[in-house]
Amino acid sequence: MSALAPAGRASAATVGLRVFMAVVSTLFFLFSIAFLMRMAVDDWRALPRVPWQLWLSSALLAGAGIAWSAAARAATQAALLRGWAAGCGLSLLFLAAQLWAWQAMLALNLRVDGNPANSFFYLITGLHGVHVVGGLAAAGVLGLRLLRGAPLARLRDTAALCAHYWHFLLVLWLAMFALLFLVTPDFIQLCSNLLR
Amino acid sequence: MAYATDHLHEPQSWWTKYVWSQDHKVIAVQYTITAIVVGLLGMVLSDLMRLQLGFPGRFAFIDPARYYQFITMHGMIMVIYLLTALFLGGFGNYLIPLMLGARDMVFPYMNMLSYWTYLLAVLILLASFFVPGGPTGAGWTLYPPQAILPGTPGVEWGIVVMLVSLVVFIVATTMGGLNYVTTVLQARAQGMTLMRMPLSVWGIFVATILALLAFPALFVSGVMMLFDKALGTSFFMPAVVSMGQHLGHKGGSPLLFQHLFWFFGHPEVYIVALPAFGIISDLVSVHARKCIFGYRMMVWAIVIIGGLSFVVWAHHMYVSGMHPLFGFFFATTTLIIAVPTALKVYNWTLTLWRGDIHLTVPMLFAIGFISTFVIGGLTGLFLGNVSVDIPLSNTYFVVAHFHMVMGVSPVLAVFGGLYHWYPKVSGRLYNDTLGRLHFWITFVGTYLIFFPMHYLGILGMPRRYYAYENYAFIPQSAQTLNAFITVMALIVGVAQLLFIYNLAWSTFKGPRAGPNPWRAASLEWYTPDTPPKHGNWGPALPVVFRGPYDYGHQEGASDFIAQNIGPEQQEEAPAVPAAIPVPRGEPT
Repeated sequence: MSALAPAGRASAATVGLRVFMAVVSTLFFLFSIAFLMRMAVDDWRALPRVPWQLWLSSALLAGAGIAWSAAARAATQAALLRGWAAGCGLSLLFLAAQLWAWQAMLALNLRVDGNPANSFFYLITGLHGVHVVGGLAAAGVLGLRLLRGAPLARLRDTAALCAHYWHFLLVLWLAMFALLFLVTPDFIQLCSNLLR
Repeated sequence: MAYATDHLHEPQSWWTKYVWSQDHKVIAVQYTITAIVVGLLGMVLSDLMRLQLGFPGRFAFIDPARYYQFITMHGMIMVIYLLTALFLGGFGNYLIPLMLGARDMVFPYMNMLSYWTYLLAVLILLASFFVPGGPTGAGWTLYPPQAILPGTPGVEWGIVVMLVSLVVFIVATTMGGLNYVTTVLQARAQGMTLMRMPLSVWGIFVATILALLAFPALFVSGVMMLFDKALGTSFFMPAVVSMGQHLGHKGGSPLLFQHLFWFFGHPEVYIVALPAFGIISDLVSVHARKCIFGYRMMVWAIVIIGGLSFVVWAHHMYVSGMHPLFGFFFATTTLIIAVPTALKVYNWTLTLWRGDIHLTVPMLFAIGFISTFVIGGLTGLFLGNVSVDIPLSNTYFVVAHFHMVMGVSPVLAVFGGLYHWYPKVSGRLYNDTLGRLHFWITFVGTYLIFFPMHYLGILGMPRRYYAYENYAFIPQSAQTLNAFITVMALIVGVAQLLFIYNLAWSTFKGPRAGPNPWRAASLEWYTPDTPPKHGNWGPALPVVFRGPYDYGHQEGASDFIAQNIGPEQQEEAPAVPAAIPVPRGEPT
């Protein structure tokens, strides 16, 4: 990125990231609305059970967020490099665990072209994964700066942005996880009974 | 704000200066030229449609499938790839940093990526003309189930290519939009408070926020339809027997698509309209030599219109059927939007009132915009009412309405804006006579095209039909009117070459414009170089002391105070040099 931007550049990057997270939140909010509206049709069959791999992937994504936070507070470049490697590695493992969960779903014959609940599972987990990949691309830029020996303060700023984004990815994933497996026609019925 | 001059990233070669450029001005020109080229294609497609409607059956190559493909591509190109890209990518890129006193967008590299991603989206879209079966003919709304069912033109590849192109376009718009919003929030010059920003920037800023929040709905509907088409899911596709065969889909909701599409589609109207409102405000103020009437009201009207645009989407779906209370709600919110919109029209009119009006080419287009926008807005009041909309829906009355309000009006604003800022972009003056000729043919011509369509709609002439034989309720005179409209559409189409020729020729041969040919007060006219160089402002950034519309202060030869003139400088010397170059043909 060019340093044509003002001296308060870190601030601009933070604002830019927040705007981006608002856009991504809108995207997944709209998917959630579509999920709820499609659920109202009679053919909906809720997903039968949570593949255990998803609990593992949730823990991995939480671990990646912690690693990024550690990188953002690193006192030395070596510590920052360790945080960076842990953040990237755990994120890659998260993606692998998500693919493993896909495999488990397919083994149960819950295919993408089956019930719409299945279709949403693959669609939403896939798009969330794409956003993790996007984060890894940004983390790759940080890795290049590390290799080039950029000043520690600048590296920490970028790592802080990564931490910010990974925490967001975790919250987003947990919300989608709950949507996919907790929000079922029975759950909606229960809520409406409680509200009566 | 201080800038590290050693990091200015001055482009070193022709390629990095004009092709892989990270300079917002070059990117703005790239966006503008690409959008105009693709817009010309959209216009040619509309002329081809008109040939069929005006002279049915005379042109054998326009068969029903091609006719629907022309309709679809025309609509999509004009709304998305021309107007959205030109207002946000073209005007947004050029004006935001210059009007706010910034050196560039805050993320120049991402800005460059935004343009190249947009170009990729355009190329993918154009590729659909060359895939088996041609582009989709589903109509620009791409309603399922028909959009992906056999029998619709382009169902083999065209619809897939269109959806992929839209997804890529949304990625480009998001990258650009992040830049515009962050630049407005973070990179304003010292003294440039939000309430000192020109209304063009306000319009683009709020429109960008709308785009960032509305385009995800198009993304969601596009991706889900791609899944239905390519992977056999049933998000939108109900159980269908197509050509005697049961398809694999079941239970999908076409209505869900309509909700998602119009949750994007209606804000899209304002994504196009708000920048136009802002540009027109600037043009009216500068060329009437008067402070814009009710600046704060104008800002709040933009913000309120932007907010309301998210709660009116279902007025596009009255004929799809809905609970009467929903119809009442959406009719009410739709009509409420007329209040801030009318306020803007009143304020433009009151700015013109007793102004020192210079009927320059940009001013002609600005006044033309107000006229066409009022006509289109008034028919919007008709269609906002459920009971009036239902008989008129799917007739040419709707075609006339939306072409006046979001076709002709924004295009007039685009022309006005391009003529207004062209001297700053190129450093040259265009041929005034050609500009005026372009205005009058376009303005009168578009009225003659679209005004009669209201009448055709009230006659009951349905839209989207390929041919109108054997409809007893449509009189023969309607065909005569259709032939007339077609001739006018062809004339207006050809007249656009005047605009292209004028700007292209003047870029190389036009007389030098000087830094501020319109004697404007806003910041973009006070760059040390014209056209502005990389970094815009030389060694020192400007400091802002006032709003952008300080006109009507006669002080020697000057009747305005520039935004960057402080109280001390104001006392010492006139705000501008006494001798100001005036564009040829301007009334004095």
